[in-house]
Amino acid sequence: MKDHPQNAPRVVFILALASVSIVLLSLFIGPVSIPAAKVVSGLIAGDDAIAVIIREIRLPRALAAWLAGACLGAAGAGLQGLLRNPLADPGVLGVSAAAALGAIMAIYFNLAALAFWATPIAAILFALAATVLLYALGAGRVSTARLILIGVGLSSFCGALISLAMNLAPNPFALSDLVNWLFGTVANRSIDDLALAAPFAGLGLALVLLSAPGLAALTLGEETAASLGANLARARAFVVIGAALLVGASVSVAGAIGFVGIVAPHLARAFAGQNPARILIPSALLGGIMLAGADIFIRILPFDQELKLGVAAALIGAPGFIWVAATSRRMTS
Amino acid sequence: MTALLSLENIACRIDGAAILEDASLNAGAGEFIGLVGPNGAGKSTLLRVAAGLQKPTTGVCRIDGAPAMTLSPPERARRLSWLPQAREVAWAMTAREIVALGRFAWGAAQRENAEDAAAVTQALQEAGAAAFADRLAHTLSGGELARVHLARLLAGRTPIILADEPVAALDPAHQLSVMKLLRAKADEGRSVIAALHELPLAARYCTRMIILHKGRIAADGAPADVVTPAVLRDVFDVNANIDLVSDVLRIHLDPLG
Repeated sequence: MKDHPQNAPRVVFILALASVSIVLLSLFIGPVSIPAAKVVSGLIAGDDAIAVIIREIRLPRALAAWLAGACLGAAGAGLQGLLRNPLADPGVLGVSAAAALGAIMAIYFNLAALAFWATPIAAILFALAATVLLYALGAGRVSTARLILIGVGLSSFCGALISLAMNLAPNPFALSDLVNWLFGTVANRSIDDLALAAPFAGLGLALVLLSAPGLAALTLGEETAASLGANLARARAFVVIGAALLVGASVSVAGAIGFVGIVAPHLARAFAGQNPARILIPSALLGGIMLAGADIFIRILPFDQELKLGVAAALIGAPGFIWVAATSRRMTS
Repeated sequence: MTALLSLENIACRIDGAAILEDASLNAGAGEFIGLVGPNGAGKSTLLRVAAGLQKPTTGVCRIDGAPAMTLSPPERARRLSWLPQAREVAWAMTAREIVALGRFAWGAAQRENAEDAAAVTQALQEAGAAAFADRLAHTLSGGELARVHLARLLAGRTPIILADEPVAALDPAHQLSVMKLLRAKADEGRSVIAALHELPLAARYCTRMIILHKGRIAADGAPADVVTPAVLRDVFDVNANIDLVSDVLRIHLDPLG
């Protein structure tokens, strides 16, 4: 793998083009077969059934899958840069588990029935609460190794509470709702769901991008980065809060989806080099492409029951995770 | 003349253990100070205090006369660069990208201007790393990587240069060239402090040597005055034969007893 830092703008351009293409391609796929010409005309104008299917069912679904993947890719790339570890992921810090717990609680206590935004907002609030807790327990002061250990504990605790909620689920319908959030899906998403998540995603991405120079300096270790003039407390805060917002936004549109945060940055490094500042945007774009692609994949599978997006992501992503774990190495000399 | 760097009565306790006790020194322009002492004498901690990475328990560190605590991290980094003993490179970046991080405090991580690029190119050349500037860090040998880190240290063109064991793990030819380079930086008017274990090299190239012993400064002065059989016996537990041959100290060491 040869590093061409000057290629980064070209990589971003190609990945952006691929993102638009895959979202457009996604509009042609669904249970109702629609001729290509009508897909295009339905996207642009009209209010017949076909235009409604394209604009209110397929487009939000495609954008939701892309947005969820982009958020996870950016969050993963940011956290990996901060922790200087290619296996770091929103899951590592317990933020994903907390966001899933938030969604589960909203469903379990029937808040979801009161307002459509209750579940996504609960996911985002729990992701932020997990971040506040991480801070209270020492993030920003303690070493990243300890931060990971705290995250593992937080993750396990949220997992236990999720199991408890499923254990105590009052009826099979509630349980199936819970499973939907836990497995992750973008079926039946509306533009409103996207509009709710987009500001959190945008703010999260901005915070992670602002920390980019600090992430580059961190390549040489925390003390050297500090001696170079990097503001590590600020970089840590921006990445951790930014990742919380991104994960909350992702869980709010797609439920809990794993492994994109690990695999997307790993692929981005193959295209854009390993400088952690330069792979943030490529990782976001690749994450979006991966999930939008996986969502196309599960819709063309000939199963009666549609495969859940999170399950498909894990089926592809878990071997990817093992591949990353087995082949990547940290360098210290 | 104000010292570029001055440490005043620094004491440092970490988890109750006294690492430094009442250490004071002034480093002026043109000085290449060799900081020597046995393992655990406090050399690295002294450099870390000077670099602002370790807060002293008592005492003040001044840079250009101003208390170091009043400088922002980038302000300090533009005056002082530090090479740690442990040299981590977490990601496989190119040698040039690593050296360019030495320009971080000038905003080079956001936008590298012509001055940054010139400083990086010059540092790569001075450190003898220009030949592998475009290679990825994990493909370099230990000695090549050490020169990349040295180039990163020089790329800031800072008035104060702190290096923790800059010649450890280098072959003799590269040890000599690194010491010569650091001396040249001092001769340019910078203030260089290097923690060293190589007494003959230190005595040959440093303009001044400071001997640390159990957290205290045991001796401070010109190499010929500081490196004496008595000091080496008391501090390092070795018997020394020292001759001055045409301005070069010849040091021969034997175990005590």
